[in-house]
Amino acid sequence: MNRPALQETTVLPEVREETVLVALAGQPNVGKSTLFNLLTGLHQHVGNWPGKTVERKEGLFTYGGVSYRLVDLPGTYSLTANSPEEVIAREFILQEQPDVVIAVVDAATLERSLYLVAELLALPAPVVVALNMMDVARQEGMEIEPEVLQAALGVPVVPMIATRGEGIQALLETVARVARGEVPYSPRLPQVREDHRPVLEELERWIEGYVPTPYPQDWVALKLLEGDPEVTRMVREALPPERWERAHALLRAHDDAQVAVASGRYEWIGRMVRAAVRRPRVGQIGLTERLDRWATHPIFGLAILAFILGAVFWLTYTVGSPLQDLLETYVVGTLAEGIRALLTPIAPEWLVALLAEGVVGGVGAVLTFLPILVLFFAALAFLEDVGYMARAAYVMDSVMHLMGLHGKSFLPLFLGFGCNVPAILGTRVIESHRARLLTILLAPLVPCTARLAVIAFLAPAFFGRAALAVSWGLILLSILVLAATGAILNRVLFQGRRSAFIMELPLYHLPNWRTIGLSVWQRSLSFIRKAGTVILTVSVVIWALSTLPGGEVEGSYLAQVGRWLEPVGRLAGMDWRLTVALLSSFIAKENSIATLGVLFRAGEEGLTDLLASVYSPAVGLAYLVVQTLFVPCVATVGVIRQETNSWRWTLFNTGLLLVVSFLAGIGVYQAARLIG
Amino acid sequence: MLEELLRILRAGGTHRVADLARALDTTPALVEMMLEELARRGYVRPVAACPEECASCPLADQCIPAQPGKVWVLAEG
Repeated sequence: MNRPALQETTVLPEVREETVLVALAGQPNVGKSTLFNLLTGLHQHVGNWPGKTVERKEGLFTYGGVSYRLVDLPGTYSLTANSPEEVIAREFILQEQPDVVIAVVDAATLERSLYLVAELLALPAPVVVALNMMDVARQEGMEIEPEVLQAALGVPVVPMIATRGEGIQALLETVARVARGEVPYSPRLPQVREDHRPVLEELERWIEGYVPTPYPQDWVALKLLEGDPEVTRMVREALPPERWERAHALLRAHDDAQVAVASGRYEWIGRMVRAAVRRPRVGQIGLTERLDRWATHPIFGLAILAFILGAVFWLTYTVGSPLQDLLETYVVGTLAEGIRALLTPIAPEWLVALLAEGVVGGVGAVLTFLPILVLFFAALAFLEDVGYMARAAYVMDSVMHLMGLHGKSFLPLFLGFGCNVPAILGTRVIESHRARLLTILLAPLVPCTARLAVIAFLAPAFFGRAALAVSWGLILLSILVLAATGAILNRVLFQGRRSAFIMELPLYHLPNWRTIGLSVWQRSLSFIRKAGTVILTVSVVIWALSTLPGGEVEGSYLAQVGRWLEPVGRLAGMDWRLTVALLSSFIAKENSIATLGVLFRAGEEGLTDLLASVYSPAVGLAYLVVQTLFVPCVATVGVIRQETNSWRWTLFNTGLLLVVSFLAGIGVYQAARLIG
Repeated sequence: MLEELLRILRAGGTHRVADLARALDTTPALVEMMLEELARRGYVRPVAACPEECASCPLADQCIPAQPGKVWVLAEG
């Protein structure tokens, strides 16, 4: 390693008079500490900056027979008084005026590092740029030309890899030459936009002669223009009141200058990067760009999204449905038979029926679609992990704009595909009350995983091989109804003001199977928990209501309620059983399966086969349409009440969804009957 | 450059960082820094993928698209 010769003493106060003072500046995690340790070795002193809890490190080394005192400034991104670290760093440079400032820069994130350099160049100490992490930049496919950067910055630039000790000698040599005044030093500073320059000049006139030493007047004027709180306080105290009033009035009249000063720095960084960096055109970024040309295209992107959704359902049905059949026949059926065989001789008849029909028939039916859910969760987790979900969100957002929906609404709505409850809670990110309200009202129309699971279970039961097309159609229907409802409510509720939305799409990457596995595990566990609590309770209640008073389903209390509601359901082809199943989904969407399981006494005989033999495809389709667009579960309604803080809007939403779902169901049923 | 970025954002619509970088003839990293600057000054607001309120949500674990990349919105008013 090219470590320089070290001075023997570690007692810092005994620094020789001719010692060269060097400050080490840089943002956090650019290798500043590595460089500091490399240069000073064990000759370090660690303490605190006076009056602060920020750590102060300094050390000694000799190079070329000259003694150097190296002070490690706190890691900062800029030198505006936003944090104690930033104030410490700039005050040290201003007060102590080091012979050289080494600005450690991360070559792989040059833009971020250069902001600090832009600020350092304005201070009265010569800067040497240590262009560290050249290896990382190279690995990421970036080619940086240090000599071009040096010419653009007007200050010495030394490429290096501190972790390997590469470039240390060159850095020390450059620092030594700068300290001796042998290197021409003419930094190219960021410029304030032309229309603000007269303001800066006028400001300088007002503060001229009153700026405390050792602060440079032009720097103070610039910081004042930028709205730096510390400098503003210092100048207010230093200026006579009438001068301060004039300067302050000038600043107030040009408060847009704050943005202009920062803007000048970004412009400057942009120029430096354009000059010295060649970006990768191949590899990961290139692949992401190439894929995104299709995935985020306004038309192809939507087609790809539709295709991917279709593929997810295809996979779910092709692999999941046979597994579900097996579970239904061998696990649920065997369990119900086993309970009957074991308990009939020793337990009362009602208890056997409760366990075999109520618990196994209800909860068992729901648990059989665990394979379908696991596959579905895995597919979504995979899409999320490889980075596709962000593209799906982006593509859908454009559609929402076309439909007159608010741009901010897409995120919460998108969350709705997971669960409507977080979707409604997520609307808190929307500031506009009316836009938020509209999003809350629309969120229940996004098919959540529970609804998708019900579709995934019932569609194959009613439609066999056509289940994929039907499921795909139901999701499309939900989105179309959402868009149409949104467009209508948007026109009625607010005038569709456009708002800007900025997304950073992550790079595509290979899936992390552990993350996907963990996500699937958590979601499946949560589903099983729900089956063991809410769905179990509802199954037992439904069983009791469908058994009492006489033990026959047809004469039960539930049948009486169902028949009372049947006329409404009949319009959509639904008998009282389907109507009751729909109502029970208000507690939790999966309950509709559990209820049908109990009502059809599914246990030994699979529910899917029973449903297929009882209901026509027209009835099945109408039921699925109503179920997909129906009032959300009670948890969602509760959150709607909580977030709108209004029973009126909650009831309006419930009523709206009741009307929309039944109208759609009736329409579909009547159309299907006409077609035959 | 910040003013130009603000002008584009104020025209409305949905933007990708990469597209903004192309429009401003700069890099996505610099656009991201500028968005952070505008966020510090209150012109834009970063949207948490899952808002703070979700931390206490019992369903947070099930939330499917929890990380759709970084998102900002133009502050209203």
